[in-house]
Amino acid sequence: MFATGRCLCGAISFTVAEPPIRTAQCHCEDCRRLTGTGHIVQAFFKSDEVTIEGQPAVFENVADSGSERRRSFCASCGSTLFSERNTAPGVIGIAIGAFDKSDWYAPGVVFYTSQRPQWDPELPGVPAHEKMQ
Amino acid sequence: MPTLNLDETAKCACGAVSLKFNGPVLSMLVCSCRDCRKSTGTGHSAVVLMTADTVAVSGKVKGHAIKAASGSEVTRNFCPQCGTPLFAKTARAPLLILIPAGLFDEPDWFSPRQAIFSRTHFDWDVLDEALPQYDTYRDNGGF
Repeated sequence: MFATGRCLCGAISFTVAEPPIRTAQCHCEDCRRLTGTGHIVQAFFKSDEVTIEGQPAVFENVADSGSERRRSFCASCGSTLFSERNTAPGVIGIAIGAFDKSDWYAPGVVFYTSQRPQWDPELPGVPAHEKMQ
Repeated sequence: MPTLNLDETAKCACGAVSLKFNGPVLSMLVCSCRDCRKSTGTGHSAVVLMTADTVAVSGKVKGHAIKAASGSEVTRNFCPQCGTPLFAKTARAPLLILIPAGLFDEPDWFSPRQAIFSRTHFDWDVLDEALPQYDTYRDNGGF
């Protein structure tokens, strides 16, 4: 097993079998609003390597990139958890804050710097894009 | 620092809940306590403090109360339809309301002055180096 995690109240927990295929930070308006911060940080895994216990609530919308996004959160405590999109089937993003241990995390790429608030620091040395790539 | 007065409205991602702000910002900070990391899904929350009577909420919200690292009960309120964090209240300071900076359409006025609960901050989470950091709260215990 690679990692475990859970929401704030513990109603939802998950395990991940293998390391992430990609990591990213995104400053788009949805990511800012749904975290309440200047960005989301996520690791992406093959969906069949992630086991989720509990039933998250789901919010679906069309992202600024045009993708149909499906975001999951805990219905009891509101914690930000998972994210999927129709343009990347078989892949699930997990919010890094949900992991029990996250010392393995390093952002591989930054998206939507065009919507980065000036108070949220840039990441030196990390490839960054104005929008989604 | 001149007083920053807010006179604006913000909505959750799905639009079911709106908040109207009309009053001074008392403090701005980032917090890396475990609960803030868990609930935001990131390395820290970004918080605007106002008095509760200067914020009006319309729409249905869901609250979750938990005993925080500070020892006091914190209630985090979010939109039950889209999960957007909306506001929190702490028993430590019952007249205050804590608003996530990410809720605002144009949050460029946000300017955190302190980073609290740095004892549980992760190295991968990049903060402004000029920001004073405190293990828990600022030395005088205030926000």
